[in-house]
Amino acid sequence: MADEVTGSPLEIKEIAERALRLQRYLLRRAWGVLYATYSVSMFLTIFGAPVAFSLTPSAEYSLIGRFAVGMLASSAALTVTLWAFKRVRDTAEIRSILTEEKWKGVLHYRVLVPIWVAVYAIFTLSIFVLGLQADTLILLLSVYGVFWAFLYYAMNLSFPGKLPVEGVAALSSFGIATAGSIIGYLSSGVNAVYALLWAATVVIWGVSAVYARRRPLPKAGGELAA
Amino acid sequence: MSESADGPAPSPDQSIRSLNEQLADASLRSSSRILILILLAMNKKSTATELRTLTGLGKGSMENHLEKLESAGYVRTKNVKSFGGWRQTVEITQAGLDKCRELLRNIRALNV
Repeated sequence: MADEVTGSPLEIKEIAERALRLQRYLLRRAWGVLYATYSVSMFLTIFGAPVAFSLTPSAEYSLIGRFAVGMLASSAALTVTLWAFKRVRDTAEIRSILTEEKWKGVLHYRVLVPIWVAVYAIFTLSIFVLGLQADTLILLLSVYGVFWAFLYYAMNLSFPGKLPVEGVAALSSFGIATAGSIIGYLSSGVNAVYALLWAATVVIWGVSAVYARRRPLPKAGGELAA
Repeated sequence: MSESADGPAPSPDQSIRSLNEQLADASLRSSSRILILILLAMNKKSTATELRTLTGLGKGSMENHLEKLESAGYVRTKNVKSFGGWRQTVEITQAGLDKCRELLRNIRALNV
């Protein structure tokens, strides 16, 4: 393509649209990092820590160990989330100049960090002060439900018009696992169903991560890739 | 908390005049440099290697474009040491961000 611009507004708009297509590719890759981090984080929190620490002789040590691993895993996940969501916000801000779309600033560290701190304060209080270990599971699942809403909003803001297939898979699996676990807990508390749903989610998020990171670069003037 | 498109839209006449003024700036009279500026506006920071991958430009061409953008004050480049050797990072400046926003606002106002 000839590099010098002629000054035509249409030409500039086409350049901007090409930038947005390339940005979609970059955001898919950023989300790929997020899927991978959450896959590992969910595995450690739901399976890794409980299995590892159930082998310790002390029940108290087991609980503290599991709580610490969960907190570390979610800190890593939060860090990656803040990094990815910043990119989403910066993209939305530039895109909204061109498209006049309106969007809400809830994907900001000023919102997400206080929520994370509050959730862990409640968990700490529930588990170590009030001794409500069993009830923290329903609290955790409720937090996951709220988190799903944030993810859904962030994904739609990242990919307006058409969500990538790996994003749909990740969101669906997480939503089904959360809803299924809440229903399972409230009805019969069957651990096998809970384990199966979350094992599937961990795998799906891992596969989504690999798929997202391997998407090809869009061709100049090309359509949005699936 | 709600955030919307940046500022009131200028009139079409104002936009055409503003667009012509912007493109009179030699540093913006290139489709590659405009593309680089918009990409950096959305990512704030990148590397020369990543920008080359995205734009398809060769090494010499990218260096030339970055030099022009840096001379105009729209980006800042820095060579940093990493595991694989030296790499060049590119960061958009506030002036670059403002210029990009103004360009896109003009395009929106012209409703092409």
